[in-house]
Amino acid sequence: MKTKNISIQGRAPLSRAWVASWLLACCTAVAVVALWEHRAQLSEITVESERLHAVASQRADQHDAHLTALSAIAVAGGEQRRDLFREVSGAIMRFYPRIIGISLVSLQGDVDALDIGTFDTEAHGLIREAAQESSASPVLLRYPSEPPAYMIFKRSPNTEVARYGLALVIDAAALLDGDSAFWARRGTARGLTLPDGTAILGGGADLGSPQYARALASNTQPLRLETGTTLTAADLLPAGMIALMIAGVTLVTLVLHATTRQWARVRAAERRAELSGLETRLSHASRVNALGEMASGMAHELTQPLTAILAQAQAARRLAARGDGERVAGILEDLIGQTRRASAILERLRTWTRPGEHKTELIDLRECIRVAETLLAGQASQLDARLAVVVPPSPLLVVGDRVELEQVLFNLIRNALDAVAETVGARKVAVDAAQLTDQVVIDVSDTGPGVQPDVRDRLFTPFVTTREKGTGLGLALSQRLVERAGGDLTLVEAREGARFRVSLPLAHAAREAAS
Amino acid sequence: MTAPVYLVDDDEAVRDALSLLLSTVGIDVRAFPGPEDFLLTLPKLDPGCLILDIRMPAISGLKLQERLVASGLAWPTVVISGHGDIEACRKAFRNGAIDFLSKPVDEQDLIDAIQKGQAALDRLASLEAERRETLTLISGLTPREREILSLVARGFATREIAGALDVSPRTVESHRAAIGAKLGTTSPAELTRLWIEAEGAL
Repeated sequence: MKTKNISIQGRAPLSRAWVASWLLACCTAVAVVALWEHRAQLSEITVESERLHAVASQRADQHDAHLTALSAIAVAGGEQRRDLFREVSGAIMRFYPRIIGISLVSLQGDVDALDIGTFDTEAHGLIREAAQESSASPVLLRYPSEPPAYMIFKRSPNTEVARYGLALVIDAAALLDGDSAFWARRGTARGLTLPDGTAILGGGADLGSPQYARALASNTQPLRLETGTTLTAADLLPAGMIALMIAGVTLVTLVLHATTRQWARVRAAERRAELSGLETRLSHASRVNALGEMASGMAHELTQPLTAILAQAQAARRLAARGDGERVAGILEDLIGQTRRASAILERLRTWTRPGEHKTELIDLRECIRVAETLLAGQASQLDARLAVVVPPSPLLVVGDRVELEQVLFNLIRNALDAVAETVGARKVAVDAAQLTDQVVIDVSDTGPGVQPDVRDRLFTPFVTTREKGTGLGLALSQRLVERAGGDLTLVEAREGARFRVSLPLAHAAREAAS
Repeated sequence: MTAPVYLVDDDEAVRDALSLLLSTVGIDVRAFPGPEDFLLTLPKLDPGCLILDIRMPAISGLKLQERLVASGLAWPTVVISGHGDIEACRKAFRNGAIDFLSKPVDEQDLIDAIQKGQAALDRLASLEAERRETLTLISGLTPREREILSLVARGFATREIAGALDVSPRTVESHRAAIGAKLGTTSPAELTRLWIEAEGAL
C-alpha cells in the first residue's frame, strides 16, 4: 500500500510551488541576460561613436586647409586665373567627394560668381552676407536644399579688405561615412548639429535622447555629433541565449526537485522506522517496568512462605532426629500448605509474564480483577491502604486477551495505590465492576489527590507522567490494550481522588444468554 | 540459654515456623503479630533478645527498633528482612542491631545471632549487677567519707585533703581506713574506679 503511494507521488507533476519557483528563476535569468546585453550594446556604441568622432574631426580639419588653399588661389589669380581656381576646385571635389560644392563670390558684385558642383544661386546673397560677417573664423550655415549638408563661409583674403566670399558645401552624410558596419545596423542613428543648434543631419526626433553627444574637435567647425541606438527586445534578448538560459534553469529546477523529493522520501522512511521502533520500545519498556516493580513485590511475597518452609523443615529435622515422629507429621502438613502458597504466587507471576501473541478468548473479568488484586495486596497492606473490590456474583464475560486485561487492571490499581500513598488520611482504593445491558464497566477509584487539570488532557499520552520515577507509559499502554479489546479507558468525574473507567463490550454469548 | 526471645513478624506462617524451630532448640520464644502488640506487653517482659521483621504495616521493624533505643531499652536486636536492601541494613546497624539476616533465614545463622544476643544480654546483666553492687557499697559510706573518697578519686594526697577540709591529717587517715574497710580496697586506683562507676549511676 505504501509503495504504491510513493510510486504515484513519483509520477505526480511538479507542485505549484515548484512551477512558481521555476518561473521566477526563468524571469530572473531573462532579466540578467537583458541587463547584460544592454550594457554590452551601450559600451559598443560608445566605442563606435568615439571612432566616428575622431574620423569626422580629422576631416573637418582638412576643410580648413582646402579653404586656405582656395583663398590663396583666388587672391593670387584674381579674375585672370578663374580657370585655375575651377581646376583646383574640381580636383579637391574629386578627391574628397563629401565636398559637393565650392563657390567664389565677389563681394563688390563686379565679377560673376564662380560655382563648382552643386549650388543654389539663391545662396550667393547668403555667401556675401556671411563672408562680410565672418571675422577671423569662418561662418557655418545649413545648406538650404538637399542633400543634408552645411556650408563653410570665409572671406578672402582673410582681412578687413576682403574682396571675395568663399564657400564650401559639405555633405553631412559623407562626412560621417566610415568603414564600420555598425552604423548600418537597424536602430542606430547619428545626428550632426551646428553649434547654434540648427540640425543638419538626423535630428532630435530620430535620436530621442542620444547616448553619445560631443562637439567635433575642430576649431572652425565645432559641429555637435550625436549618436544613439534604439534597443529592441530582440537586441536585448537574443533568442539563442534566452533558450539556453531557460533550458539551464529548467534543468537545475528538475534536478533540485528530484533531489528534494528523494531526500523527503528518505526522511519519511526514517521517521516511519523511528516511530515503529518507538512503539516497540514503548510496549517493551512498559512491560519491563511493570515486571521490575512486580518482581520486587513478588520477591517479598515469595520470601514469606520460603522462610516458613525453611524454618519448618529445619525444625522437623531436629524433631525427627529425636524420634518425635508425631510432631514431624504435623509440621509436614504445614510445610505442604506453605509450599502451595509459594506455588500459587509463582503461578500468578507465570500467568502475568506469559509471552506470546495477542490471544482473544472468552474471559471472566472477575478473574482478571482477582489476579491484579492478589498481585497488589502486598503493596496495599504495606501502604496500609484498603483495597475494596466489589464484583457481581455472576461472571463478567468479555472477549479479549486475558494477560493484557489483567495488565490493565494491575496498572490502574497500582496507579491508585501510588496516588493514595501521597495522602495522609484514610487510604482507600475501590474497584467496582458491574454488567450493563451490553457492556461491562469497571471503575477503579481512589482517595488520592486526583488528576491535576493541566495533566488531564495529556493523561493518555505516552511519556507524560506526574510521578518522579514514572515512565508515563502505564496509562498509554493500558488504553491501547483496552481499545484492542474493543473497549474504552477513560477518566471520569469523581467527588474525590481519581476514577478511571474501563468499558468493554459484553461477549456475544453472554448477551444471548441475557436476552 | 536462659533469656527469652521475642519475635515480631506480621506473617502468621513465618511467626509459627520460626517459633517452632527455636523451641526445638530449646529457646524460649514469644511471638507477636505486630509492633503494637509487643509494645503493649513490653512493660511485663523480662529482658531478652528481639527478632524484628523489617517489613510490617503501620510500624516497620526499623521504626520499632528506633523507638526502643530512644526509650533506653538496650536489648540485643536481630533484624530480619525479605529484601536485604543495603539502606535498611545500614539503618538497623546504626540503631545497634547485633545482626541483620535476610529471609529465608537459616537456623544456624539465627541461632548464632541469638546466642550472640544472649551473650550480650549476659554481659549487660553482669555489668548491671556489678554497678548495683558498687552502688550498695558506696551508699554504705557516711557523707564525710564520700567527700574524702571524691577527693581521693581526684588524686589529692592525705595532707592536701586535710588542708582542704581543715582537719588534721590523722583524721583523714582514719576516714580512709574506714573507707578501705567498707569498700574492701585501699588502692587509690581501685577507689577511683569505684567512685567513677558510682558517679555515673547517681
